[in-house]
Amino acid sequence: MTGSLATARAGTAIQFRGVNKWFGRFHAVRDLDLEIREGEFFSLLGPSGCGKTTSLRMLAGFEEPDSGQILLRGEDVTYLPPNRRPVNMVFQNYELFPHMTVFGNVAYGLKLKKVREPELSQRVLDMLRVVRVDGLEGRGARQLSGGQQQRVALARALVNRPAVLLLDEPLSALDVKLRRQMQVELKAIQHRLGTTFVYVTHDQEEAFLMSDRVAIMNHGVVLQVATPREIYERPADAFVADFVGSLNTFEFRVDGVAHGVADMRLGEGDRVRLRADDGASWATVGTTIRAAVRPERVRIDAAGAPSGSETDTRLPGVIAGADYVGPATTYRAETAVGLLSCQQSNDASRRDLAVGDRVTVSWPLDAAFVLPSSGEA
Amino acid sequence: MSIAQLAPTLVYFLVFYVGPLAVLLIISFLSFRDFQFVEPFTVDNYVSVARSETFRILFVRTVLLAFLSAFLAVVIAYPFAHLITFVFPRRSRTLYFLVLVSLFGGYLVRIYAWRTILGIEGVVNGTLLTLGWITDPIREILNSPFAVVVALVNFLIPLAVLPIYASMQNVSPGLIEAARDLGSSRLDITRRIMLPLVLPGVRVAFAFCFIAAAGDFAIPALLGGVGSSFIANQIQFQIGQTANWPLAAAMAMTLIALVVAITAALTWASRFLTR
Amino acid sequence: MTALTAKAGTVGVGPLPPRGRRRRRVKNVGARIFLVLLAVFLFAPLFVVVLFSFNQTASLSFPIPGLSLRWYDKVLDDPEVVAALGRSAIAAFVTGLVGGTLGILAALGLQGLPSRWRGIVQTIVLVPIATPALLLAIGLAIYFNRLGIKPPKLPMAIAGHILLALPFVLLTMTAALDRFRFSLLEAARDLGATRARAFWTITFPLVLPAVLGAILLAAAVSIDEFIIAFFTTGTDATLPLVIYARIRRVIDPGLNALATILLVATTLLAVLAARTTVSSTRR
Repeated sequence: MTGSLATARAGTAIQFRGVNKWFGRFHAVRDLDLEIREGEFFSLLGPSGCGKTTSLRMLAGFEEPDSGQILLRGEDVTYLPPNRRPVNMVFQNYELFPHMTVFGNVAYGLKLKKVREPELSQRVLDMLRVVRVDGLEGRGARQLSGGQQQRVALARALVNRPAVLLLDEPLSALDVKLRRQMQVELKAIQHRLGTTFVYVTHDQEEAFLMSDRVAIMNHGVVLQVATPREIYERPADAFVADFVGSLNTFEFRVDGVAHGVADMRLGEGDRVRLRADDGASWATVGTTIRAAVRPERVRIDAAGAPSGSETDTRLPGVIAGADYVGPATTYRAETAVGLLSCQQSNDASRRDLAVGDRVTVSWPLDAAFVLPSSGEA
Repeated sequence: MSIAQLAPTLVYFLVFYVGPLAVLLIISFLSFRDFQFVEPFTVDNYVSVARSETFRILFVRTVLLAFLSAFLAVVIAYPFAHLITFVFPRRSRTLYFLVLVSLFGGYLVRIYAWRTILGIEGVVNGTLLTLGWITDPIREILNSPFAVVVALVNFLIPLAVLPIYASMQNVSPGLIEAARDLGSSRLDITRRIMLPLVLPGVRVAFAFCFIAAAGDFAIPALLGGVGSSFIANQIQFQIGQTANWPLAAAMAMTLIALVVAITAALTWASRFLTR
Repeated sequence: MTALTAKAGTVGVGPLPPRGRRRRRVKNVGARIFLVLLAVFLFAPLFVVVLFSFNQTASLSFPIPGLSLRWYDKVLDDPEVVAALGRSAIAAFVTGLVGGTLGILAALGLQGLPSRWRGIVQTIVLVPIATPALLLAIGLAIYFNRLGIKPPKLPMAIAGHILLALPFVLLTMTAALDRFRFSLLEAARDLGATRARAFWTITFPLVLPAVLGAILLAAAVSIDEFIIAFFTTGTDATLPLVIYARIRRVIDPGLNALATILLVATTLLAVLAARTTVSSTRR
């Protein structure tokens, strides 16, 4: 298949082309087109049932696509059995072989490749050191803690020097602190080894923390592929916006457009402002669209306090609720555009606001963005 | 693929289980002449069985003693199962294990053991004589219904424990805690929570024991003497002494049918009473 | 009274009255006594037989003058006994192998079946246990007779033993296979193993204890089995049959030794079977 070689760009590790998968009548993966670059930490993020695990398993070879192609470094591996692919997986339940020791588990793949002593032991012990379970090689797999099992599973996969490492929600069984620690370590290991990682998770923070790029999926479709920052600040649609963080959404009526700024006037100098780029089709007087702003960009001050620049959005509000979580407080304020959430860190200079207080809600021009009308969840 | 793997067992089943039972059924309808069993088909055998005074006496005795043994076995097995499930759960593995092993080992040995213990030169008599409590050995303990029941119960207890223990596993301690939390007394809990969950197991245990005891041959043969033989012994007599297979088959079929009917009736009755 | 708070661990209203604590201790003592009595009832008979098998004299009452192995010598010199031992061993061996193989295959087949059918097939195979052995015994006897296979011989008994053993084998193997995580095989394949390799390095070692346990269980069933052998073997006596025949004769002190041998054989097999199956439950 020389055609695939020609179209593969240098540095592309994995390509999905028009991949579809059905389970009975359930269309799990629809027309998946994805490119994952060599050496990147790539995550598939989405709610349960969105198709991310199925896609991973097709990459590993445990499921076969009903249509489409999967290319690994230019080679078509769509129908290649899993034991012949240069790909290794870290399973959600670790799947360590219970009747073998840690050493036996990690050496399993190498033995199959007929790697001999002393290289075998060398590579196994080195990898155990990388994942920080050195000293445990004689331990039986059944006798490890959850965190240790997780590391051994990682070592078992990585020791084979795969072209791509697949990880299927490997940290979901760990408690929060351990998970955070492992996330940092995984990122460091990936960086050190330079192996392409494809990571599946439903935890947005986890994906963002570790990944170079993230693909958000829902109902078998990829909604957006971008860096974490781009996804957060410029979500492709309402679902993506809502999935990766909390969001205030509201109706924006275009009352006027001037100098690239669209206005919604609410009287007495109160207004909501949106940046209108040249050629923005919605930026005509009378149009109504949906817009959004992140709670952490929303500012709340006592009523009447002057602040901010001319292009800021300003409108009056009444505090409807306050949730104190320690480092921050989330206020909910009733405004002319609806109930808005505002998240502010609790530093000493702020005065606590109470329910019923009159306030001024504001945010900078670029904090808000237009929600694309497609793709409601 | 699955069918291919299951096939050998199912075929074996057909050949060595269904076959023999079917043949037995057919034979029970054959006639017996000159030590041969031949056509024509007849229900004479069943008629003989129904008319036979001997059969009736034996049957009543068999059923009564089997019932008594099964009952005692369940009555003893229940608290045992309860103890290992709720009171000593940590030791339950070893205790259950012991019970299981005794189920698989020593049927005949036990029978012989009881003969040894209950016989005129046996342990009980020997010890009583030595102690001076009696002057002549008591003949009546062996070759009596008492001996038969003792040996049956001894053999049936492990059999009864299994289903009862299994059904007790369904009662999670959490259930009991919740009931206590809501104000139930111990008795109340036993009645309303445990019994409904455990009763099916008890029924199964009783059924197994009753059927096993009613069909037993060796225990009445070796410990019951002439006065306490079971139907099984009579069946063996017909086969061994007169080779009257048709009659023997008819007896066996009748026994089983009646025993199963009684078991079913008892089960239904117990369900009705504890609705 | 409202100032009183319940002690930690008590259930119910208020602190545990001292009466209740004493009651609990008494109940425990009662429970232990019951267990001891039950153990005595179940095992004392066996113990007695074993004990008297080492008795110096032929008496069957206490006290025992001394210990000796003379009965074992006598019994093992008896050609009838040795032959019976051999037959029992062969029966156990064949039952274990054939019953084991059939049962294991059936358990594997059961795994691939949709759950509706599983229940049905499982119940079908369990039926021989619920059937009174008497029926099976005379059924098999007349069956072989009618099929023209006479006179009665050992293989007929073995056929019956296999039938009795199959349900146990099936139950054990099904439990073991249900516990086996097939996802381990995915991991093996991911690491480069072919399906065959994965079977031999992962499935086989993990399932082997259950397989051994099932075979031993089948053998145990066979050795102790009496009634089917009684009706089907005629002159090909197995060990239980020899014991039965001798019981009916005069009191034979060597019988204790014979019975002990049988007991040891069955118990050993049953214990081994239980131990190997239990060890496979540790994941």
